[in-house]
Formats: sequence, structure tokens, C-alpha cells
Amino acid sequence: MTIDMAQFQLTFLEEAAEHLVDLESGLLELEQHGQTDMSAIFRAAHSIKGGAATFGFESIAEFTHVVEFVLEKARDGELKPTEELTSQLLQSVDIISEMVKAVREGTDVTPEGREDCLAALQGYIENPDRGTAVGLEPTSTSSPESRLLQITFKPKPSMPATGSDAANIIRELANLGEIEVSCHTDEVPLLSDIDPEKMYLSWDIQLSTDATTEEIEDVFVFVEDDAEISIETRAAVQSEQQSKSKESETSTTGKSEEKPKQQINKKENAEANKESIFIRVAIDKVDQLINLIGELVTTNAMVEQCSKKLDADENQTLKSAVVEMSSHTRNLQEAIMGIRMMPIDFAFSRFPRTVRDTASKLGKQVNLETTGNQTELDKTVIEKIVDPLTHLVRNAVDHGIELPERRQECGKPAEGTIKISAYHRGGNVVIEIQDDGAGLNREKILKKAIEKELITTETAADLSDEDVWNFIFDSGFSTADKVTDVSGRGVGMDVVRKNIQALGGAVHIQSEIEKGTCFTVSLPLTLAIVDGMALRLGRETYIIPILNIIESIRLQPEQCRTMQDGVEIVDIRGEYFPLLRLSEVFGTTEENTTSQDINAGITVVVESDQTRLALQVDELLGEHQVVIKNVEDNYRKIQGISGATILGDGRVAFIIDLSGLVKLARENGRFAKASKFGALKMAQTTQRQEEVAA
Amino acid sequence: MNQQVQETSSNEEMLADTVINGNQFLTFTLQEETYGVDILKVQEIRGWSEPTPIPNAPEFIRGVMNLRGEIVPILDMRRRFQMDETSFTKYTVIVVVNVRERTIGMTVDAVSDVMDITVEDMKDAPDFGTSIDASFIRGLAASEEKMVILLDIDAMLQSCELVDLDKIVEKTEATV
Repeated sequence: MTIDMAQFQLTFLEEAAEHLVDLESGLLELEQHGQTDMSAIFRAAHSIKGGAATFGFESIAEFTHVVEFVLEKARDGELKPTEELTSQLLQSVDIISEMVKAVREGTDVTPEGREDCLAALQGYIENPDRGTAVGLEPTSTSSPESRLLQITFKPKPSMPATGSDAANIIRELANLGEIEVSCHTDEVPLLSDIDPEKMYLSWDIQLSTDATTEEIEDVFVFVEDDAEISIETRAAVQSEQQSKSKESETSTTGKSEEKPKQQINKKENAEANKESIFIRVAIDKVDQLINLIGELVTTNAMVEQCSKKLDADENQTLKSAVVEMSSHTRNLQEAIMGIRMMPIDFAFSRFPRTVRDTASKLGKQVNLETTGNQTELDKTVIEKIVDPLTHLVRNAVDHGIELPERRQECGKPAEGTIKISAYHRGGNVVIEIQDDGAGLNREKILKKAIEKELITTETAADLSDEDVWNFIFDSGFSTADKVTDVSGRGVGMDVVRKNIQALGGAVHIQSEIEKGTCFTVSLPLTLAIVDGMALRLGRETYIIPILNIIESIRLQPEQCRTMQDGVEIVDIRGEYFPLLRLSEVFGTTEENTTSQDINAGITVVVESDQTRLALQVDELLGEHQVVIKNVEDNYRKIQGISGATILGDGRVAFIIDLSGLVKLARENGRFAKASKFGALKMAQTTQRQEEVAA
Repeated sequence: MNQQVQETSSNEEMLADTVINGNQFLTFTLQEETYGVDILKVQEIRGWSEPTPIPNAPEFIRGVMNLRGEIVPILDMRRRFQMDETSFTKYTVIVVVNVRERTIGMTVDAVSDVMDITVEDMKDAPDFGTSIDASFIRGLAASEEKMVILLDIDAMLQSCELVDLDKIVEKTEATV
């Protein structure tokens, strides 16, 4: 039998990535609060080292070994977790993740600074604040004297199946001190009954060691679940006092050391829980499930429609069966979509590091608060939103939060606060990034916008704050006085907005000078499904994302005006919107009869890219949750269309992409140029003033 | 609903034959003429149903249809070759082909046959001087007193603004 090593390597890489996250978050906690679950950090490093060694990634194993060793010393209290040390460790985490990345990408690059970092860590090992001899033979302060331990190690028959080798464990124990092993062979069956993949042996081990109990437990860390392990102290010298206090709580035979035993049990539970909660599934399989459920939902809708036409009396059983099937299908769909949902903590967990690094580089003091970490979101959405969010967070530190001295001058605490929160609102997830910094400077942005000829000095005064803030999303727009390597290059914010919009989301800014800025990002729960409004245009059905719709209204002819260049505007309660007749933009006029008559159809006011406009359509057909299908698989991109979906009757309906639609209309000259908005707004204001005057 | 007339690709015997000869063609008619396409490109043949029109698409693209959850564009071959407008009969079918990892449907008047055409039977296409661009034509073949025009659908679809349009899209985006 050949074993596909590549597959295991992949598993190792995935696990290593998870362990690295644990390692990093643990270290950050240590840095902030001066304490953390050191054992957890140590275990993460230990697992990376073990995996790397098993799969032959020597350089990772070697490096991680040193990191692990430092962590061990820190855990045992030999090293004080100073800020310097945690920084060094965080840096080493970066180096490990770079090495893991190199393995994943099949490149053979030694990360920069690996040697320096290694040397620095070695320095910690050789010169700890206190402690004794140094070397790879670990020493400990908690029980420096040699003691005799009685260890019973009774693996379950199934242990070899997990890949653990009992001989290795005994060998590792032998490394810790002098060892005397006796093997029990009572349970070995007749040769004919032996299953070569099962374990029938158990061992009694006498170990004379100066290692701590924890170190001995670590030897068994990978087989805890597959074996009965007991560690008893025969000639305890030091830790007896500790165990005495516990002895009253539990009845034990002999001088057993209760504390470690309890720890083992606790660990066992934790591990067991973890295993029962998660299974690792290839993303392809999940995607396939999602595709299939999409099909099923569509087919179900077809069956539903057919059954509606049937006579109720004759087909009663069929009809009730169909109703039941529909409800099951819906539940199934929800459950399957749920598989892809992950807590947004996946993205949030990166920010402490981002904030810490950026703040220390800029000499600022920033406190990060996150809430709603458990808000769930589609995995793909999370993956795609991480970078834009990181950018916003970094910007908040760089541009938002002021230097400590400046803050104190303004009467604010020297330490700035960035609050990141996530919550559900309707069918969306909203993420807010709020800082209590300087806020956006209207004058500065306007000056820059005029410089860039985005607006003229005359129109500048009419712009609302929100319009002004939105300029920072334009490409090449940076108000940072000097370009730093953190930000200020003006690339970025436009990419941030583009990425968010590509996900079907939107970003808004609220800002108050000297009070701070808040970026609000709203995202759809998933990319695969959109809440849409179905509308009729001629004989065809189109879908508009509900997110874009402000209202729908039946207009009177007198509310519609045509401007000189043929562009139509509509007046809705004193506000003017440019009107787009969808049938004209899409070139489907031949079948359309109502487009000329404004009050025959219905007008939908929509918002896209902060621009509001009115769309004239024939009829609204109702709200639907639709499964998005890609059109570009077999065809080119259709302008003004973001995708398609399959309706209940099996026909295809297109989903309208409003920003593309606006672009399309502008190209066709059916829509006011950007500069016209100034005029529009002016007309609006003048009218309002007239009204006020009247 | 769409009725599947025949699923050619599943006919293993036919496939095996083709692999040996390399020259089996599905023939269909368009306005009195017989055309052939390489059978290995054909995925299936479906009955006609009205597709959903695509906004601002060229006229010869009838629209898109739902093929088991996939969105497939439908090409009207008569319009593509600037022939008279198709009248839909019960024989009108959609030939679904796979070209460059894309799935595309073509409406034809009727499918006729699967023909073996050897290299010797094939003749170079003369300059037609007609509506059909000679670059779409792989050759001519005579069989049973009938002339079959063998189409090069790769070349044809490329000129149909389906495959090549990635470039055009890029260009429009650049001008916006």
C-alpha cells in the first residue's frame, strides 16, 4: 500500500496554519494582560514541530523547536514574559508562517531574519533571568531534584491506527532520565488471531527523572485519547506538599499525584470535544452540495408550480406531499448554506496584530475593542473581506488616531480606541470600524478634490458631508501629508470600495472633526444567494437586489420632466432623480408597450455608489431569494448584469448590476453626466428655498 | 419543458469509432443546406424552447437557457449566417456544443444524421462569396449525392463575440 504523502502534507499545512493563529493570539494576550494559557501556546508550538518533523520539513522543525523551548521556559516561569520577549516570539511566529507558506507554494525560500531571530531566541535560552544549566536537555525549577515515577501506559487496541508508535513514546521517556520498562503480554492473542494493526501490549515504566510532570505528560500528548495513562510519584521529593492539599478531595491508593492526573483528564475532555465538534471537509465537496441544493430548490419550485394546476380533490395526497417536500427543501437549503458560515472572528483575530504593529511603528497608543466576533458570515465573504477590512483598520490607526501628545492637547486620553463590531441587520452583516481620532477634514478633502478637478470651487459648497467623504474612495486620492509605508499612497481606498462592492456590499462613512470616523461596511450573508425584487420588463423578468431598492412608486406624468439634452428627471416629494427607462437601456423596446407612459408602469428608486436614480419598469412581481448563477462561464460579461438565476418555471432571469447599468446608460447618453449632479442639486436647493419663501 | 431528443455523447460505441477514424460528423440542415460539426464537440441535442434574451446582445444571440442549472447562451445559426428568419417547427432543435471549455447552444432547422467522413472525402472549401465566411469552414464532403459543409465551430464561435469578447470587455472598461 502506498501512502499519498502529499495528502498528509496538506493536512499538516492546514493544521499548522491553525496552530499559528492560536500561537499568535496567545502571545498577544500575554503581551496585553501579562498572562495567558501558556500550556496552550506551548502545545501549539509543539504540534507544529511534531508535524514538521514527521513530514520532513527540517527547517521548520528545527526553528520551531527553539521557539518551543523558549515557550517552555516561559511556561515554567524561568523566563519572564517581557514585552521584548513576546515581540521576539511574535516575530518568530511570522517566520514560521512564512516557512509554512513556502512549503505550501513549493518554493524554497528562507525567510529574512530567520537566523537573527534564531540567535535572539538562543540568547534567551542561554541567559534566562534565573535557572540552571542550558542545553537541549530540559531542566525545570519546579522540581529540580530527581524523583522516581511509576508510569502505567496501556494503549487501546486501536492506537496504531492513529499513527502513534508506543516504542517512540518509551524512547522519549528514556531521554528524560533513567528508565526501567516491563512489558505486559497477557493480552496478546494466539498468533492466528492477531490483527497486525492492533495493539495488545501494555507497559509499566519506572522512570527516575528530574523532569517536571508536565514534561512527562507532553510525551503522551498525542496518545492521551488512545491509551490509559497514569503517572504516580514513588519517591516524590518536592511536589508532595502540593498534592497533599488535594488528597482530601479524592480517595486514592498510594501516593498518587492527583494534580497532573486531573489535568490529563481535563485535557482529554477538551480534545475529545474538539474532535466530535469538527470534521475537515474539502471545500469542493461543500460547493458541490451548494450547487446541488440550488438545483433542488429550482426543481422543487417547478414541481410546486405544476401541482398548483392540478385539481385539489383528486390530487390531495400529491399536493400535501409537495407542500411537505418544499418545506424540507427549504430547511435543507438553510442547513447546507449554514455549512459555509463561519464566525467573523476568523477575520477579526488578525486585527490585534495589525493594530499593534502599525501603532508601534508610528509611535501611537491604540486600544482595540472587538464585539460581535461570533457573527456568522459565508466563508468566501470572510476571506475576501479580510484585506479591505485590514486596510480600513490600518488607516484608522494611521490617519484616524493622533499621536499621544496631540490627543492630550485635545483633551482626549493618550491612548486611542478603535472599536470594531459586527452584527446582523436584515439579510446583511454590518461591520463597523470606529476610531476616536481626528476625523476627516472637509476643507482638506475639498481642496484636494478641486486640485484633482473632480469638482469646481463653485460646486464644492453644495456638497453634503457624505459626498465629500466619498472622495477618499477615489483612486489616487490621498490627503496624508506625507507618504509613509503604512498608508498615504492613495492606492487602497478605491480598492477597498471596489472589493466591497464586488461582494455585493456597500461602505459608508460618518465622520466628525476631532471626534472620530466610522466606516460602516454592510455585506451580504453569502455570495451564492441574493434577496431580490423580481420585476417585469416586457415579457422578461429581471431581479434587482433588495439592498439597492429605496422605494417604489407610481408616478404621475407631471412629476416627470425632460431636460434639454433629453435626460429625464423625476420629482419625488421635492427630490429630483434622473430617470432611466430600463427597457431603453436594455434595448428591449420592441415588446414593451408601457415604457412611454410613465404612470402605466412603476418607478423604482434605487441607490448604487451613493447615487440615487429612478428606474422605470413595467411591473413588480415580488420578493425572491435567488441563487446566483455565473453568466461568464459560457458567455462574456454582460454590461449592467451581475449574474443570472433560474426562476420557478425553469427560465433564466438576469440580475441587474446597478453600477454597471449606470455606466451603460452614461455611455448611451441616457443619463446625466456626473457634472450634471451639481446642477440638479442646485435646482433642488433653489426649489426648496422657494418653498420656504412661499 | 425542454425535451431531450438524444444524448449523443453517451453513445460509447459511436465514440470509440470516432476515436479510430477521427472523422465522424453530426449533420444538420439550415435552409436546404446540410452542415456538419465534429461529433466530439457535441454534448447533446435538445428540443427548442424560447430562451431569455440578453440585453444589448448581437441579434444572432437568441439569449440564454437553463441547461440543468448552467446558463448557456443560444446562437441562432440562421441569423449568424444571415439567412432568412428561422421558422420554428417541431424539428427545430438546439445542438449543445462544448468549445474551449464553454458550453454553447446552436439552433438548427433539424438534425439529420451522423456521418463518417474520411480525409479523402474532404475537399477544401472554395471561396463562397456568400454570407458564410469561408474561415468557418473546414471543408466540403460529398456523401450520397449530398454535399455537406463541415463547420469549424471553434473558429466560428470565436468570431461570434462569445469567446473573444474578453478583450472587448477589457477595452470598454478601459474607456469608461
